[in-house]
Amino acid sequence: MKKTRRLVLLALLISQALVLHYIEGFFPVLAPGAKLGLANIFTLVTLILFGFRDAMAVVIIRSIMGPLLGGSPTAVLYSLAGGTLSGLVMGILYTYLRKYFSLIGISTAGAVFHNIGQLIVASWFYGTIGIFFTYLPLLMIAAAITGYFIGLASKYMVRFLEPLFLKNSYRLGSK
Amino acid sequence: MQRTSKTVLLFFTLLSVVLSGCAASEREYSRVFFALNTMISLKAYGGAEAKQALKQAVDRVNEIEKRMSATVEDSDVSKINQRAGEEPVQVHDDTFYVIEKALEYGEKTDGAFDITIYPISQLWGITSDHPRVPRREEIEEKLKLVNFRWVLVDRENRTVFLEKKGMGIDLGAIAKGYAADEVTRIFREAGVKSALINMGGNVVAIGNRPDGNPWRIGIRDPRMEETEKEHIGILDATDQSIVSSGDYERYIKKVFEETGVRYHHIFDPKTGYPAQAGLIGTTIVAPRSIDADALSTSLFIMGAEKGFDLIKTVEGARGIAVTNDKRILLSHDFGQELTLTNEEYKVQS
Amino acid sequence: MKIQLKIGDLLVYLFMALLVAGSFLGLHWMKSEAELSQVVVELDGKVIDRFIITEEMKTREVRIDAGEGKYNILRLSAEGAQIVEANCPDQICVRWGTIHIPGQAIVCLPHRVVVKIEGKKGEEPPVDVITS
Repeated sequence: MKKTRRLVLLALLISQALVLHYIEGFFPVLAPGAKLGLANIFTLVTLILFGFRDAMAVVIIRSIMGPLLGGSPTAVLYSLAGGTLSGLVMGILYTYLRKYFSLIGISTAGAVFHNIGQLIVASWFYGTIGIFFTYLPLLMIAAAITGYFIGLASKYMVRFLEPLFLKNSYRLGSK
Repeated sequence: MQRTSKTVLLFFTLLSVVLSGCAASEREYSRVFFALNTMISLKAYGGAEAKQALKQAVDRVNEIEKRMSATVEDSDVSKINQRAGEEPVQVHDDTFYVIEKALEYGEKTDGAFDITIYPISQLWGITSDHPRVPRREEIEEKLKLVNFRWVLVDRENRTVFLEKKGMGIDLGAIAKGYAADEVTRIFREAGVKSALINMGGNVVAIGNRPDGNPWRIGIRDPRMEETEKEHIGILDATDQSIVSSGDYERYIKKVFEETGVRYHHIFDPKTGYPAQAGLIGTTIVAPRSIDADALSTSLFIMGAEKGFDLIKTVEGARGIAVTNDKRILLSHDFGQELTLTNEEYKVQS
Repeated sequence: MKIQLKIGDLLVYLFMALLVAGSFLGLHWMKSEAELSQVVVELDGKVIDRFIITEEMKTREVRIDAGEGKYNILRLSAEGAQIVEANCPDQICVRWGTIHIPGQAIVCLPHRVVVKIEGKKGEEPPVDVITS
């Protein structure tokens, strides 16, 4: 794939992730500073279509830009921790252990570690590991649900985007 | 399987749309700032109107402070005090209103509530860096300047005159109540349905909590520092003001530590010494904060019997008095609204 | 489209269950370890710092920077929170003593600093506000 094309497509994915990141800011909050991690749909999609390195790039850039654009510098730490941990785990599982995990399993694992990352940052902020223990059960349930959703959404999105992104054609219309 | 997946996906997408609507509903707007010699916390719930009303409220409180604080150099009150014995001072409408109300309470309490107590509280220096126990002669001297009946007000010209040189007024026991009522008025006029005002412990509960239940107001345990229990009871309040006074707010710590005697800041205008009517704490529940503020001080100075008689003459007002032998006295039957939480105190009606 | 569950997926769910169980154990361990109270530091009404005090902690001191050279030194110990030094003109905060009950607060008016004790986390306070 030509370099420019890849750059543009990745930029598109990052901006979509940013939009999701912004929207999920309006969802009710389950734990201090914690987000559902829906933007990770795009982390997973990038992982499948472009590979590990590009997926990490998408997640890191989104994690830094998202909160900054939203005006909350502290949230950068939360997003980075959750996003990178989630990206790493999903990356490893998908790249090397794809045999043993379904897409739902990978996305759920990603959601789990996304929340773990956020809880670790929250515990550090509040100076007590108690935060981690208190909110983890609730966030695990959330991770199971969002993980399932992310997996499904990713599967559909990949099916739709693959012919558009990866075929050697500039015509982005269907057929 | 394909259909199920699609349905699930659709369901979740729709759910997300619904959830993002959560931000549009009730939000809490709050401001914490310092004024009237204390920390003020205002919380208003709603949309843009709450935000706007909050800003207005903060401005109004600051305005009241500029006019009625005895510590602000060119406030109405300071001007009145400076020209004591010399000439009348014209003041703003709101200052005039508060002074008149305070004088009314002076009459109603037969002098127990007296804003001309200023020279005495200055003598004791309770709010300054060096509070001290003055000598009897000093107190007698200053006591000669204490009498609310020597405050002459002229309605037509809106002036206030202190007859004798050396006299001074302090609106501290009533200004917070007035300020709280003003904030309430601003909130209500803006259409705010739910809010919580806390001016250094002077509380107003507007409407109910955002979840629809009444506000839960804890009545401070006067001996909170010793018993480690925060409150003696919880009051369910809707559109009420709750104000507490007591000997625990300001007192000379050094003397207390050495001798166990509390020289607190609620002075009895008849003696010039901290009031000793057998009460350690009082709480008033009333529709208007200015009444609650004045009554809580009055009740403390007058004692339960006379105080409750007075409370019964003010519409909508109810009182709770905590005695120094750990009894809780109630002016009215509070019924379900009040839940007592500290067993160390026994209730009597 | 079929999404088949594989063995790894079960591992993921098992892992989650383990984490949840571990959390309950962790919380239980914490509760029996010590009673926790939160010390919250506010400047101009905004929370700028939080600390935890426990019965077994080592005493430590923290400097609160109130801007423009103004400061308060906060001492955190098993006894509670106390301001031990400050460069404010009235020194009321320094003479206040130690606070440790939720609801208590030390206020430094000139610096617009408030140090207060809040109850344990995750608990809905029974009251919205306390009169005084």
